[in-house]
Amino acid sequence: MNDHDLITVVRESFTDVHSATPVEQIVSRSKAIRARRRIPGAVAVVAVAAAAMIAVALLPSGPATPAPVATHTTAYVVSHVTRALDAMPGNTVVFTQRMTVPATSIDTWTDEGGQSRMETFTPSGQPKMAWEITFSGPVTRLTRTVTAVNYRSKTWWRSASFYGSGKVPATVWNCSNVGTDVLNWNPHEMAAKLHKELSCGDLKVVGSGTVGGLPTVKLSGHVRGSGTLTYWVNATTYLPFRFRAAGSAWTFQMRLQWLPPTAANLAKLNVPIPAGFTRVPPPRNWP
Amino acid sequence: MSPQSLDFAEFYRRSADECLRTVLASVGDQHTAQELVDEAFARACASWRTVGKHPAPAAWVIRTALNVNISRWRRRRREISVADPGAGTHPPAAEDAESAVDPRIMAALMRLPARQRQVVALRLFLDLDTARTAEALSIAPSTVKAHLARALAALRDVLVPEQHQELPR
Repeated sequence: MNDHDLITVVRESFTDVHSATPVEQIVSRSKAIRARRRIPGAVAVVAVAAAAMIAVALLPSGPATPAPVATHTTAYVVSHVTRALDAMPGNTVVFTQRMTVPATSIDTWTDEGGQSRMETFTPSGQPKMAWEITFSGPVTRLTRTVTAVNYRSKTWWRSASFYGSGKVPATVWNCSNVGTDVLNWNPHEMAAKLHKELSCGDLKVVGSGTVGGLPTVKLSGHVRGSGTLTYWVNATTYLPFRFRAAGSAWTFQMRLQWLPPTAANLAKLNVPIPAGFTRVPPPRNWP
Repeated sequence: MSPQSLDFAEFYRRSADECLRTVLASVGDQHTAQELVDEAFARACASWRTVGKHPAPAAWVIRTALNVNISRWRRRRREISVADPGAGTHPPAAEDAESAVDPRIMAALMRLPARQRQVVALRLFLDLDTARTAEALSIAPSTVKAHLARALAALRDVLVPEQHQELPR
């Protein structure tokens, strides 16, 4: 069989594949894309107006006291937040505690290299599962190792697989994914995410006050396709310490802690295997 | 519909199946391919004034679809579903009972490295020449030729029974 015959065989095997989407649906979707592109200009107008009139609302969450924090424009706050995030060491351990609706609680510890630990809990606070993801080997041939502990069945498994070459890439943010619940937070990705949210929606300073004794600035706004996103930012360090995303289908809120890369904090990236747990093979469909 | 939309509609009517087949041959899953192609066509429609003047608008659509796929893949490998941390794995497309493609051929395609699959798909379904394929994938024309030769050799090894293979010249 020559190349031409081989190509014909392969090509003909696809002849029953037809697009199922009517053109009207594509055109309608394109209108949404065009509308999304027009948003940044509108946002600028809204932001300027908002900055001019900054009517400071008190933070609705936690005990609040009247405006002890200087009020600033959205641009000023975001600039300081991203500078604070970018100045953090890449191996900062980010601890998050999140609550989702319906009630699920997840704790994560992550660093910029992609190493992470995640623990899930039942509504009553009992641990369900723990996951550890590590990357090892030369940068030209990274291996990803996943370890999972099931506290209910008292079992655990581990799976290592070739991951690829090069650094573990950062998430590429766009207007359709900025609201997603990414578990692997790191300071630089969060800074990039904030910038993208500003260009994709109307995120702005909506108030200042104190939360749990911390001087706080609150940023909030609607981001197209992602619902309403809200950040509570420590007005002294300019690091976000709480984040909430409320979409039409889901809501989650989380607390954030930025932990220096000490030995004790780095150890939190590992999942200990409890004594007496049985090792089992990874699930059959695990890659 | 405006004249501009009609123009796009005609392009869509002519190219949708070929683009879907090209992306399917690259990603291996029809549902995913349809999503990617729909998104790419919607973007093409949104920028039709520019894309309509492209020398190979179908190649633009394919490239956009593949870029969207890469962005999704990068995002998803760093995300785990909150609802079900163990979810997120799908059976290989070759085992998909609903696939309209001969599973033996799809499996052979899926065994190729991604870049070789993309080259084969662009050459097979869009009939792009080496230069256009190279442009669509942002690689050198010589690389396109090398990928195509290796891909065809690999496909021949899998799809053609040994007794029917020609002797190397």
